[in-house]
Amino acid sequence: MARYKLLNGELVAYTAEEETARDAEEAAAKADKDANGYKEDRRYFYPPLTDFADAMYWNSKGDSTKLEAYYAACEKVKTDNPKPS
Amino acid sequence: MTIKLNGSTAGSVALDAPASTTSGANIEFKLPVADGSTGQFIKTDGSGNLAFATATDTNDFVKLTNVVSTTSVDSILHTNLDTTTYKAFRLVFAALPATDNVHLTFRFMNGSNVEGDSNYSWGIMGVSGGSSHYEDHGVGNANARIHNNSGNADYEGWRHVMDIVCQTTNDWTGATSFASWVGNRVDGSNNYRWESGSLYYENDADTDGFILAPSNGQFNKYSYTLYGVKR
Repeated sequence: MARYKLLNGELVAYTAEEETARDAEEAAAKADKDANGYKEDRRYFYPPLTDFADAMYWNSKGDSTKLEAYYAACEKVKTDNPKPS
Repeated sequence: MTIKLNGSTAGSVALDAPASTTSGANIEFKLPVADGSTGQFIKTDGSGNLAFATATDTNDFVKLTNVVSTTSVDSILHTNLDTTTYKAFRLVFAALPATDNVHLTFRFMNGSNVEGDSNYSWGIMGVSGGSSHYEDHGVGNANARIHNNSGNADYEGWRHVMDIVCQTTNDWTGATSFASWVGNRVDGSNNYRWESGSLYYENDADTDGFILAPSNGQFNKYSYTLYGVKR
């Protein structure tokens, strides 16, 4: 499929050289996403660190309920966004 | 002295000379030789010759272009921007990628050349839909990431206001080209993310344009306005 760019508001076809460069960019971006995309995805869903601080406080008082819930939430994020094998 | 022309039905129009002129000079005006265009005004050349002319734009914030399109493209470029007149460019931008969950990237242009040396440093601060915060950054990259993943459904996409500053020969060496932005995105699972960031291009090179592209695939829809901010 031919590639096009919007150059100063005008539709212009990529040159062969530009096509090659764009192909390489996309391949590199895909390789990076395949290898590291899970890290980005996980970050958005980890519970806030403030929840961890609160859980640690209550854990120090002998109530581990919140800390266990925090760990479970982290575990779910890892399961939902697995590291590629 | 007054020349007064009476209307055919009522009223009149008069040309009045002042009671006296500066130093008692005899002032003479010659009317233009042809009519002007709509909106033009009459100016003098300082020797009494009058002519129609277009008013000079004195606005410091000037709209350069406005684009709304659903024609798919791999990249959006603006080149050969007037960096002599404009110190910065403001881009009000919204776009929807064709591919689900891809990043938005930025590079500077110098004429028709993409400034692709691995000298882009950038950072993004973000807030996820819940109460989590995140950051992303890169140093010495071949491009700068403007936003993280966007989905490709109609209600998803990227949107931001971005200020772009191109280094020119008028700047001190190493001033560098840089940009900052504030915006948001909606990812492929309809999660809203607020993001802001900044980048700079650590090359002592003049630039006069930019290119935006998804990390993969095309822009399916885009709407943007580019403004120039005068020096």
